[in-house]
Amino acid sequence: MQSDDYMKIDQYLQGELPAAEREALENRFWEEPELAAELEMRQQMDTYLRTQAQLPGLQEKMASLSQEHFGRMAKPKVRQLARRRLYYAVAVAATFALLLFVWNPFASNDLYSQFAEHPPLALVEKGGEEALATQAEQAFEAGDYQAAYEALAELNAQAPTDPQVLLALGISALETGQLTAARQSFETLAGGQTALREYGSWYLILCHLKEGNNESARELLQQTDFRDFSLASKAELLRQELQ
Amino acid sequence: MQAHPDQQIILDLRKGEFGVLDRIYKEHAPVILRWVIKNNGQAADAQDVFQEAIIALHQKANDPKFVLTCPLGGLLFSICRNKWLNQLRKKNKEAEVRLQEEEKYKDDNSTVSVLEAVEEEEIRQKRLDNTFQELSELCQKLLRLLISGISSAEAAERLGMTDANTVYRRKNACVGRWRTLYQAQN
Repeated sequence: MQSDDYMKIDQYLQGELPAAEREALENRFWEEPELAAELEMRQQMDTYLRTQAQLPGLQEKMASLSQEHFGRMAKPKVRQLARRRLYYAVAVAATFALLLFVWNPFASNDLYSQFAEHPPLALVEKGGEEALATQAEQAFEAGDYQAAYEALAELNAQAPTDPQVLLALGISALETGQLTAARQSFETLAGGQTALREYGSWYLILCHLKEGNNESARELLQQTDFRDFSLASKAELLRQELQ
Repeated sequence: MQAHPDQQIILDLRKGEFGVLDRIYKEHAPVILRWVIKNNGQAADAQDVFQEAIIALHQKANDPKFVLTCPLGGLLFSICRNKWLNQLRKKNKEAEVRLQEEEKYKDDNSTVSVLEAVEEEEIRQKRLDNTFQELSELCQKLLRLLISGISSAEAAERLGMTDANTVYRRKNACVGRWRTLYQAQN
């Protein structure tokens, strides 16, 4: 391969290579296995990226069809985001607890949907970050988790120790099917000492439910003790559901 | 081999025209629902395997070289059956697994080859996803932006880069990192 072949393959796949260069490159694919292999790798990456870009739309459509054909709700509900200052973190955690305690998870039969009614999240208000925080909140509130994820990732890069941003980031990743990223956020939360530590543990269990892996969710649930009363109540309800 | 008439469904999925799912669900979901329930499952299980099958089909549909050469219904059934088989295996229900293993050999050859292609794509995309998540935020953003169809010049403008060549170089670095991670995983 030549030094600029990577760029040429890029331009070729983007449809930006002039006709003469395109023809020359296509001829080389037949003669150079290494170049052909690189093209195939790039095509596989593009296939993955196109799939991911369309995934939220696909999941939304499947959720709308699930009720009709399987008699189950599949779309998670989202509550409106509230804005609070960081030093209210503990108070916010208490609010989460209250909301989670009064919420009836038996409104539908789908385990993930039942237990993935996300609580209000309080994002940090700081001068330079306010616009970005607002953007993240609005996207989250609208259920546009991809946009929320991108804004929250930037916020997280600016304030990686903010547990509320980390929780919202994890939820957005979870809702957009980015399970590895979601787990990273929740594991960081669960391994920390913040007021939202137990929410990290809870959402790690929801990751398994999201995957449809109820057995792993059950095992993790058995290994986790929730001191928070509302989470402990929810955990007990889920335990019963998984038996 | 010649494309099956259901290839149009693949083209619709590739374009993100998910209205086609109305028809797919109407025609095939009841079959899967009945079959899973008949084989020690519940409606929840049927929904899970059906959704996973649709996602797997969508993954393969996005491969521009993929051509469907068998009926979609038979393919969907085979994908769902294998997924349910794996679930039963995880639950150590070996007797049910053995019964259904026998059914696997009833697939015709054209379905088998497409089924294998779909399942291989599913595994590949899972690996690509695992390694994509390890890339930097900027790399992920850049790659997502470029796949959305905008030109490199526009991407340069949106990301505050000097020109399209900078975008190509940065993308090349990101893809190189991604390739290294992916190949190390295999």
